[in-house]
Amino acid sequence: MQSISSLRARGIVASLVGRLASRMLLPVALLTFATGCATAPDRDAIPAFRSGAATANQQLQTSFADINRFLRERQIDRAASLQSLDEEAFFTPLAPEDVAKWSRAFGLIDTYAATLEKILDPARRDEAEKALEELGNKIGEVRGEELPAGVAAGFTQLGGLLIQIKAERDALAAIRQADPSIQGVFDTMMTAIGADPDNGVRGMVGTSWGDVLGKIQVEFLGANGAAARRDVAVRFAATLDQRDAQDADLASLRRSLGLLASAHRELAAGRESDARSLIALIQDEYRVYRERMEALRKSSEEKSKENTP
Amino acid sequence: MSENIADSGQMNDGIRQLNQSLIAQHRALSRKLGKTTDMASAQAILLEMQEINFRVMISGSLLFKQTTAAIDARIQGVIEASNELEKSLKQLRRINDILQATSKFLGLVDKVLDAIKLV
Repeated sequence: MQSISSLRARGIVASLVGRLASRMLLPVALLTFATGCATAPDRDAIPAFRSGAATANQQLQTSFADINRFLRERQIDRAASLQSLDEEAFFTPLAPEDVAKWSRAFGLIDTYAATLEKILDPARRDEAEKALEELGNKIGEVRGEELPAGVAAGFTQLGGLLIQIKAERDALAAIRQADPSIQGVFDTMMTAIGADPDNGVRGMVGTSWGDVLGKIQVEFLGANGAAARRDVAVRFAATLDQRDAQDADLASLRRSLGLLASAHRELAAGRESDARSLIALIQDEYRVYRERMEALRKSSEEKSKENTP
Repeated sequence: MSENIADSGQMNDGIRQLNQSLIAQHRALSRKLGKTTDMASAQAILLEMQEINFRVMISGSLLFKQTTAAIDARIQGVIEASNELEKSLKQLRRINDILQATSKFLGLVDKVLDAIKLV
């Protein structure tokens, strides 16, 4: 037999805990009314977005390193025609500290997307429901009676649902808050790469290929006989292909950034299936890029074998 | 501050125009080289192209630096959104922590009350 004072004390403690629980859940409950019609972001679209951004960053780092190597060779060609050799004739056009800032931007976008993924993790609702179930049992024990089964289960599910709604509401608010910046970052990156072969990094790479082609054109004028001229013409045509392939890579990289921006805009609008199909296109771009790079590598190897005596 | 931004915007436009003009000159020389049959003239054009290309690289490098600075400024919005998400994540974790702490507290209360009952 429990004493009356003990039963009273249990009742007071249980009542206080009940009030505390209702106070904790009240703000969350109010959010359900405020966000009843809000679109929930789909967690499954976020890993695909992260993977698309990682792919674009990887493609970008490789392309920028190749471009810097190629432009350094053009600086060496120019230096060979100078009267004196000076340090100022050499510099890295896509400065490492700038390329690192691009990488940092991708890193920050990934951190943001990873936090989104965490917040939308379904395990969060399960954990809350488990904690609520435990709390319900304890309240029952302190009161010295079992809560009705339906009430306990309903309390647990409602709590879990409220937690999920808060998570989804906060995630969508963050996606919408970040969207103008994400659009701005990708748009600026696209401008830097260049809308056509006469602009941005594409313009700088294009004129450098012009110098390589120019050298072959001069060689052509000095070649004796049709056979020698044909050899030079073959090299000229192969160099045109290399120029076009590098420009196509940069154009592909630019498209990938545009697709990432569109995918994020779709996420902000709550159209996750569109976001996923856009990200699938980025993976396609990267696949074509890798195939093109492989073809170029094989072509260079074959050429160097031909030139080996 | 706004004057600095306006100045940097004008400088950006100036460098972009210079870069565009150099690229156009380079293309024009390249076309001229394609029509030249005289070796000495061709070599002179090539040297001119290399000099112009070197300046395309310098202006292109400056443009790249400036657009990178714009990326760095625009990424701030993503950092702010990330911070909001972190706050929300902490709130959600806190709700769970409070629920668990309350359960533990109730377990303790139950033990104390049982002890009182025995006395």
